Amino acid sequence: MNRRQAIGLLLGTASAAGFGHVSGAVAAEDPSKYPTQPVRVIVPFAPGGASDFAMRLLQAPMSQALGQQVIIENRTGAAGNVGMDVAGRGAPDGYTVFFGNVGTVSINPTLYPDMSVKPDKAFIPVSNASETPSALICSMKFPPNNVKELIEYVKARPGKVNFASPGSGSVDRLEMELFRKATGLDMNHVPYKGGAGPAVADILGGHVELMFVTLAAAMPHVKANRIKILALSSKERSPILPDVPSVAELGYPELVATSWQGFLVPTGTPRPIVDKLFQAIVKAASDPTVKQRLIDGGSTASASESPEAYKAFIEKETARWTVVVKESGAVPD
Amino acid sequence: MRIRITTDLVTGILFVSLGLFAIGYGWNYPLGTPQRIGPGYFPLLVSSGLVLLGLILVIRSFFIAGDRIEAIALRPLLAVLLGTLLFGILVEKAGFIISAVLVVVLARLSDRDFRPLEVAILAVVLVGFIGSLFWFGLSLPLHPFPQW
Amino acid sequence: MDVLSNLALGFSVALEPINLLYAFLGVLLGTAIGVLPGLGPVATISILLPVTFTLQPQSAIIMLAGIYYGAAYGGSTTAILVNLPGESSSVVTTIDGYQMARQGKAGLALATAALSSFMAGTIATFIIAFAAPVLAEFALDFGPADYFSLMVFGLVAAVILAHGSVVKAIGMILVGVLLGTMGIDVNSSLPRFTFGVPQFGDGIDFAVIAMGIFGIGETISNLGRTEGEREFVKDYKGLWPSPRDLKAIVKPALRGTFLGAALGILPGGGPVLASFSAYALEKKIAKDPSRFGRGAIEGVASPEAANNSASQTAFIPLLTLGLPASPVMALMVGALMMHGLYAGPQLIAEKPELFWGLVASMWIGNFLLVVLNLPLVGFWARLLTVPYRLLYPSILLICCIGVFSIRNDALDVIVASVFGLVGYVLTRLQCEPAPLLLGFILGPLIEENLRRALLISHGSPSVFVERPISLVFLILTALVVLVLVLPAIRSGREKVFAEEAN
Repeated sequence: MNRRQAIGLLLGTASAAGFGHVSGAVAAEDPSKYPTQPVRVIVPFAPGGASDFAMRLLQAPMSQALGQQVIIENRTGAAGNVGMDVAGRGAPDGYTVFFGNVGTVSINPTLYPDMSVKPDKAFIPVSNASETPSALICSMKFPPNNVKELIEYVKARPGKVNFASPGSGSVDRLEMELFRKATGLDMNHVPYKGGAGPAVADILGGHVELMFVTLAAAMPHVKANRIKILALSSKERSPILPDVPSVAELGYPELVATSWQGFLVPTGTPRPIVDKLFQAIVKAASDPTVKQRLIDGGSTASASESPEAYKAFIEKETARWTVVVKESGAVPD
Repeated sequence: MRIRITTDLVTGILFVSLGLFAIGYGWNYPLGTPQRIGPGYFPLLVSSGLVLLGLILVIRSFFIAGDRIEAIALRPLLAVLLGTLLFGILVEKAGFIISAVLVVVLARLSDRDFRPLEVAILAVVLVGFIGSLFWFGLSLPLHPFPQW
Repeated sequence: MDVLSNLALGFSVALEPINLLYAFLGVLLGTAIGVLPGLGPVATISILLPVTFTLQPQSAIIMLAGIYYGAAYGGSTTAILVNLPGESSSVVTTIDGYQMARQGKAGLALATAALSSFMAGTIATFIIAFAAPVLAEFALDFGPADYFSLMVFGLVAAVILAHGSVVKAIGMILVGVLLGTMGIDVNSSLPRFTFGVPQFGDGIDFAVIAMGIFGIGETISNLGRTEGEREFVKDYKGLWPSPRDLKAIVKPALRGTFLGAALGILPGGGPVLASFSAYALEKKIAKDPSRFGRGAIEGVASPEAANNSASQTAFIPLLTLGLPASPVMALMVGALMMHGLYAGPQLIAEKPELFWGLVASMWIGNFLLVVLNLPLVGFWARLLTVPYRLLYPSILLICCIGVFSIRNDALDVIVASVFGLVGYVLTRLQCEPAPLLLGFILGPLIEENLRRALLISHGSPSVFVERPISLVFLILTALVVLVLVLPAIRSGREKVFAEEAN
């Protein structure tokens, strides 16, 4: 350990950006020996958020599986585009890994057509890591107690019911657009910024009526019995909420959607390295502690079958959300 | 009427110019509807307010004797800003050491009282101390040396 | 279980040697990093978050909380010493704190900040212990319309901050609001005033503007002064507040404490709004408002008390409802999640040792801050006796690297240089920068809540007068406007405050 690392550790900053510029400097090495130095994973969101949370859980088991330290670098800004741009310009040597999510990889390209990095060109998908369904929640003051009552209630008051979202182009907002399309409901969109917190606060306070929000963000308030939860955007009921129906069983299979996070590497990264990373991710995602912590938080670990399967998954997601973004009018005119 | 260059007059002109610029630049931002206010509404409101205030200042400066603008300290202004600007432009390519030395030396050039030896010592001490503070202490991803 | 036995439990947790150690470590690190401009508590906590994963949850949260108020405190130190607000909530402290330092009263200003903060911290701790759940319910009643009216009230009150022309002060607020509109619009995803620069997509960082205007701009105007004028008064007198000073501090600090505690509970502008309105309040009720801006001790005591109690009561929505009201609080949620804990009402019931340990540690943290910082006051004050020709290159260099460190982006240094020019021009034009910064912080919140309130009310502006909370703030706003406008009309002159003094 050199002095910089030593002091970095002392201050607890071993995982901070300091290693960033070390990785690119090494000339192409034999991919079969990978990894010979710390692997840097760029998380495009702030510590404490859903992506960071999942990645921090995976960090230790991944480091173990790779035999090298995995370092998390949070590069935040512009809805994750800043981090994605940094990662996309990283050297394709396996030491720069991007921890993308549904927003950055599948929604942002349509939402921000001018962005400098095109995820489908810049990255090779490796594997998904975790996913969480969205919960249809509403204020305690809001009369409907289930989806059927909700539909009747809104149909009787077209355009009068307000739904919140953690951002115009968020997957939660788009999920609501799908729901409106499937049910033909006319509701009024009220976007929030700064994550799910402020939007959920206004649901708690009864200032807006309902929203889709990741189950992870809704869990504490569900447990505290301060919000009503009408449905989950999943195929089956969740083991932690056995009383809440899934959208599939309610007759809306097209609404099944999740917020997912997963790993991608810059285009050009050699196949053996992608495979090694893939195996490490699969191993980390099957770690019992990781699985339990994710479930407690409302998510599930979900590694892909193969890098090809993940690529196909992302393409499907991107195609699906592109249509929804365009129909929703979330794109600037 | 003789126009006096007062702080009110110049401030007013700056407010009007900034307001007009913002109105012009944001001309195509949609204004929206009363229910769904667009991205252009609020900036337009604020910019118009700025133009109005600027006009008040300009007109008032013709009638009320205001304070004249004090002399501009051109030498410190140019030396300091050149130093910090160069730091911003150079730091990623030329590295921290060169750009930091530039900031210190240029800053001291703003003073007529330039003591080469003292400046040299100051530069070494400051660059060494502040550099290591951010580098070691905060693991700032800065290159100390040129990158070409 | 009553509050006292809960507090006893809390103190038994917080006083465990290991937790005491982490509280101290947090406060120490927080102060150290707070003194460096640029890195605020959010960045510091992000960097240190991973270390806390290996600790016991209560130790982790105690340490992070220590960093949080340590950093806020360190920010005030630089605000007083070199006019660099390390944090948005210490902008107001620069107004009178820095003037005090220039007059050789840096020690007194720092001690005032420390003692006021401690007093505020102590009272806020008890407010949290006794009233947290009730206050949290109250905060939930604030809807978008109410926030809008509150923020408008804050902005109008900000005009009082200015000690020069009212028209210019309002103009500066508008310039700040306009700057705040830069970036991608939340509702429409449309980039506004980004000039095609991707980095402007999130707007400009507050610290970049503050360091440009205060750090670089102030240095240039100091250099423009003659040698004699620009040095700080050397024979610094009275590091310690005299009994008379203490008497002058207590009441403003108390007012600041309660104002701060109330505003801290509300998300968004919390500590910033608290410090600004505390300052405005003091200036308004002072017998001689003209002293403000020239080194009035109340101008340090009250806002410092306010931002400290606000940063503590900001924990209330997080701890009682699981709602993070600020980015720092969101980080706290993350820290708890890593330990498999979820902030919210059930946390108090399930892990009382964590909740009450944190509450108790807040008081201990504030106590440690005083213990740590009072001995440093002499050292800091002595630092100002360094000749200015050696001091200012250091300030400039720290500004450059500090700005760079915010997001590791060199463009920010260039933007800060531009704001250095702006800051210098403003001093030449006798425009004060503090209202600009407040406009910059509150403007986006005003726009956001205005648009949101109208969306929710389906376009009916009557929502602002129909909601009682909103109506109260609008009436208060009208009163402030009246207070501002009346003397101006009567005297027909602009220098309202100079006038009042006579």
